[in-house]
Amino acid sequence: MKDKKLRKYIYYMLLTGLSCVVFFAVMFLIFGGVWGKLALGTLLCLPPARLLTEIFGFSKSKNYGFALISTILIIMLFLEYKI
Amino acid sequence: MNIWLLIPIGFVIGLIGSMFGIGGGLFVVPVLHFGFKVPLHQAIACSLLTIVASSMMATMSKVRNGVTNIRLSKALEIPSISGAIFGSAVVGAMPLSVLKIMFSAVAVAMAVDMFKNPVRVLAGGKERVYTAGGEGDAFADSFRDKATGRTVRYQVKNLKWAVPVSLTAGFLSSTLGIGGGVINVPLITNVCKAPVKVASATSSYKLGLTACAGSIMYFKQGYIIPDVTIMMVLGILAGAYVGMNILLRVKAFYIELLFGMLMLGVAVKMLMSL
Repeated sequence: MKDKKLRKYIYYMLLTGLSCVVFFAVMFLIFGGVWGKLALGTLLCLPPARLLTEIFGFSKSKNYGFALISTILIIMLFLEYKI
Repeated sequence: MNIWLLIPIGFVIGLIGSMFGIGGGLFVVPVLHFGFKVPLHQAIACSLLTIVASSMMATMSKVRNGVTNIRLSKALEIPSISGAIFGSAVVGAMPLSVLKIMFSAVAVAMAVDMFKNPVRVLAGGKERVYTAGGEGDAFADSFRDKATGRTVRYQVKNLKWAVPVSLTAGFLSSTLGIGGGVINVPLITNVCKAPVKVASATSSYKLGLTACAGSIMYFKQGYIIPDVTIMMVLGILAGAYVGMNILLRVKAFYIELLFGMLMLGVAVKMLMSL
């Protein structure tokens, strides 16, 4: 299996992120209000956070080509947000 | 209808979506629009967010087992997003009926190819054997198949064809409004010759980013209905987790058989909408 460390980083990042999403979602169901936006905002942050993790992981294993692809993708996402 | 029903409905959609590597937008939009009378734009916005949720959960469940081929996903992401951007720019100028007929023909061909392995196994033959890649092969990988208890080593082939096909897939997905998964899974299985479980997991991995790009715009414009989306997301997260664990334990030919049927269904639906 390739990129073992990167897979571990992604797993823990997503575990933390999704736990927050579920926590905020449950809080929204109980209290309503701003918790909903927090849950959905956190969910939307996960794909860019995954890309950042990939850049970090690929750079550490010296796979600069793949790290560059992740960087391009994050720029594309950012441009989409700006537009 | 009672809004709490969205949790079990989301569970079923998440289960199916994560098993086959499709986002689930195929089901979410009609359920919300026709079943819960949610306006179409809000239903699409909710559907995109649920795809992000399903993809992230599927990635989390799969990434440590090695079933997801991160490198292959990276190689196909830029062409498919570029194709989608090009598609959305020329969508008005294209004759949709021609595109729909073309897509249906390709979908039927891919479904037939998908059926080859299950038919061989059901006729008493052996399952497809994959060739292991060498150490220097950047895209070759392996994973442990829990259904058979064996380690499957495979090589990614025809990458020079997969890139333009992925570009076309992105183009078709944005012009026809179909999810990327329906195209990604057959692409990775039939063109790249990777196992169907890898195709499904890699497609799930890839989908989250594409859906995120779309949902940012809807989020900014305030199209998201929080209560509906959150109910759906909670159901989908649970469903996607269960679906991914089922996928690891089910024999590959069942997935190929069911996915082939799904492809035929999409082709028929596309032809009927002409």
